[in-house]
Amino acid sequence: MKTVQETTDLIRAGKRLVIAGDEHLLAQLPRGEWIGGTTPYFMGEEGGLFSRELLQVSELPDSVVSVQTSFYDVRLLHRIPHDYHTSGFSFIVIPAFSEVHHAFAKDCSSWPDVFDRPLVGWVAGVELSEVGKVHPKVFDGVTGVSSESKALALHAELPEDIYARACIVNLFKAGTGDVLHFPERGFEVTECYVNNFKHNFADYLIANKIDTREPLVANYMGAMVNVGIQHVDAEARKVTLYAPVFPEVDYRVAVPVEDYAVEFNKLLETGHTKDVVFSCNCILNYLYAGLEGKKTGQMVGPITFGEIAYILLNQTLVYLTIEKM
Amino acid sequence: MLPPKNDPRWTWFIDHIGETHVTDLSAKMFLSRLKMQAGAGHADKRELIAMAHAFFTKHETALADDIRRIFADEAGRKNS
Repeated sequence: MKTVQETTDLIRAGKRLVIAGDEHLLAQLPRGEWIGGTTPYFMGEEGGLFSRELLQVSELPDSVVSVQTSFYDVRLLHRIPHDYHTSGFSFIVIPAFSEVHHAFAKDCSSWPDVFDRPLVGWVAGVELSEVGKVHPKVFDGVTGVSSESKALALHAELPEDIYARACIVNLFKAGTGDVLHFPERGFEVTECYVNNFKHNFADYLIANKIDTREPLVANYMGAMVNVGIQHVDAEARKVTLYAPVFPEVDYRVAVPVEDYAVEFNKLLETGHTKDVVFSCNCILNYLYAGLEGKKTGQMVGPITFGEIAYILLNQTLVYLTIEKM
Repeated sequence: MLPPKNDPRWTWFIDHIGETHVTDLSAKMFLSRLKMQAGAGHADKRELIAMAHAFFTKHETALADDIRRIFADEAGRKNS
């Protein structure tokens, strides 16, 4: 975690940075090769914390040859893979609750070539008590422009012998209960199929006393992809989700995680977690697992309103490694 | 090494895509999309093979272990 002055010094020294922090801090930073997004929640060196005084700074390694930044509105979003470097990786930061946030989540997995280079990043947020009052923002340090409605990407070029890899750590596993299908793609759900029988999803969650802190989990060829449950409206019989569900995918409610920090550290020991240049974790993990003051290994980074590893994820740690081939 | 597009192991691979084991996240995401397209009937087998071949060709070095596992161990053994 760094002060505005320390971050300013890094920018002026020509470092390429990905920065997370409160809006009033990001707005004070000088122009340079950096992008940023708002959040006051972090995984710092000493554990989870809330801060409106400090910034979380990820420094790109010197092996990065060049970086370019670009804003994308809903119309241009699908062009992100066109701007990938032949060798490299891309960061993306998206303001939460914006039209572009929903469009990215619903459509990105169908974009041609989206999986060709590592695409990682986060959904910018605000203090939870300010949701609906203050808009999350993204900041382009190269142009000095910020936005609450456009996605911002930083496309980094690497030499051909250096390889970037997007990885995830997800503690949630699909339970052995009902298989859920959703006929429509989206963040708002009324109808679902439970073991092929049609139900109202809100009614199903209530009748079965499902703990909505546990996400829905889908198995993407061994990668467990979560969809967090935001709100169950019993009266309107409607469920709002933190990420979209897709009609072709089987979902199950996750098995509860006993102690997130302990289980997380165990899982990290088995994964490839050296050469990490960036990581981020989810606000729901921070809240539900009580991560304030608790460390999750050596992983530091923003606590976000959605994590991105090619697609939008929930309740998942995302990280990027850069290594020599 | 990646088999040519007309190698019968590609047909086996597409027919058994749900059983494929890969380790790289990009490959998991890509193959999930392919599986959804196959399941929804959005593409015929030839198109699916072309998409898979193009993806693995682009990432032949980075996905060398996954490619070896798919074509030498699984499809290779079942097709031999």
